[in-house]
Amino acid sequence: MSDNGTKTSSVQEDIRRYIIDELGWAGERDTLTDSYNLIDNQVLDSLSVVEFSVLLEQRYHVEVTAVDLVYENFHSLGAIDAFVTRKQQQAVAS
Amino acid sequence: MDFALNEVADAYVHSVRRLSARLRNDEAGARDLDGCFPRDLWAELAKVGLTGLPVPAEYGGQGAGGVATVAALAALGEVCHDNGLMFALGAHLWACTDPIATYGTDRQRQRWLPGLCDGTLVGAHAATEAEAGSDAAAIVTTARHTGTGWVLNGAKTFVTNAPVADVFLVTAVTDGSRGAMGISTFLAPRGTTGLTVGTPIGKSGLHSAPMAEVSFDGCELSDDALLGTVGAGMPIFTSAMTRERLFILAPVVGVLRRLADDSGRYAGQRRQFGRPIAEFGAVSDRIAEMRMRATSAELFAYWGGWLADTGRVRPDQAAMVKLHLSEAFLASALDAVQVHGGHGYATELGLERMVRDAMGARAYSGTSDIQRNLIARAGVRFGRAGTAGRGPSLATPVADR
Repeated sequence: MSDNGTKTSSVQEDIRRYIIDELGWAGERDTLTDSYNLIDNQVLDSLSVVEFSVLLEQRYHVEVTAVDLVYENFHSLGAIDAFVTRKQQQAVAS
Repeated sequence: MDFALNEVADAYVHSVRRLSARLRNDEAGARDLDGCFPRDLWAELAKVGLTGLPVPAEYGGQGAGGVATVAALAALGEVCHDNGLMFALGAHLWACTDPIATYGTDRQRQRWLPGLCDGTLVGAHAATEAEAGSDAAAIVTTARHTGTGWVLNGAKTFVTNAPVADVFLVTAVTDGSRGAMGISTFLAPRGTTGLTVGTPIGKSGLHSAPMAEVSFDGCELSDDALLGTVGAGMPIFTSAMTRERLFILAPVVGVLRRLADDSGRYAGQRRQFGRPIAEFGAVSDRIAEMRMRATSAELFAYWGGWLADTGRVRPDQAAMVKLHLSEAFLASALDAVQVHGGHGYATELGLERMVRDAMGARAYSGTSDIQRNLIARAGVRFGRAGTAGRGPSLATPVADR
């Protein structure tokens, strides 16, 4: 999915829109880059990450458990995209 | 929504009801005064499999799904007059045993679950701290990796079952720079050097569910003590709390039925001014409210069980279940006291004890106020997306919304 970049940008744009629409992002849209730290800048907290996992399961048909909800997978739009891609590849492989 | 039980689950619920004769309900008041954890009754719960209710059969549990779990616990609430015992069971199941079954390695499951299921071990959850209650991510207890294991330092409070627990599920900060994402979960056996259980904490009710502080002073744990992955402590906590809020008050479904039935019977038999007090509107209004609460609580509880069976439950949905059942519990306990008048206020019927126990339900597993915050927060989110007010259909699993 990530070879041609199509899915990657779709995931990132989807999540960006969710943060702006659902989480009430108050900053400039341009600030919300793919590498902007969502945890350190308190865009996502522990509860919204859990709610977020439901969104990912629903939209991308990946299984997300609590042990997946760690900093490495959720600290930025790029990290979330990589996580979703990895999960989709694992699903295909299995 | 489907609340039907299959034959196996139905038979199991009947076996729970048959516990009635073995629960020594006539001594529940004395146990409330003593404040002792009734080990013999815990063994009775274990004999019918309640101490391992949601755990897969391969580890010694009943493997009950959400709806079957609600049915079994509601049956327990019908026949058990010891709310403290049922609360101790809830803490053991949802805050310790169930998370081990869900997130444990096979080695951790093999080590802990058979004993937790057969009643020889009791589980507890050490999460709350002096300055971190509802704000669970504000904990300051730390876990430092030494290269060969972990060293815990800090203090937990309001740990239900602590005085009798054999294993503690502990949350601790493993990376202070990452906030809520820098917390991890550990399994700490009782007797570990550096782990100290304090004296029991006095409280208004639920006296047969003992509670204490637990401190960690250079408490050394092996690498195998980590539950899940490093940094997954808060998601595991939130997931455990969501399950706990769905099920911890399921016994109250049976209790509410009993309170409504007993009060209705009393109001029909107690005569004043030459007629049953049920004929006075003020009394019959209370009976009506109690019956409605018993029914709505039952529906909420089974909805929660059904949601659990779909595999997709949002924290705000679990908060609704917990909030509704806990508020119904206290309201009906107060109504039962009022219907029974002086007999309700006296200790003989155990109704004043019911009020004290029900007060606890509005505090444990997140106060009613925090449940309201969770519920409102989800609604505000929907509003930002422009779907405010519609809300998801109760009959639609969240994945399909």
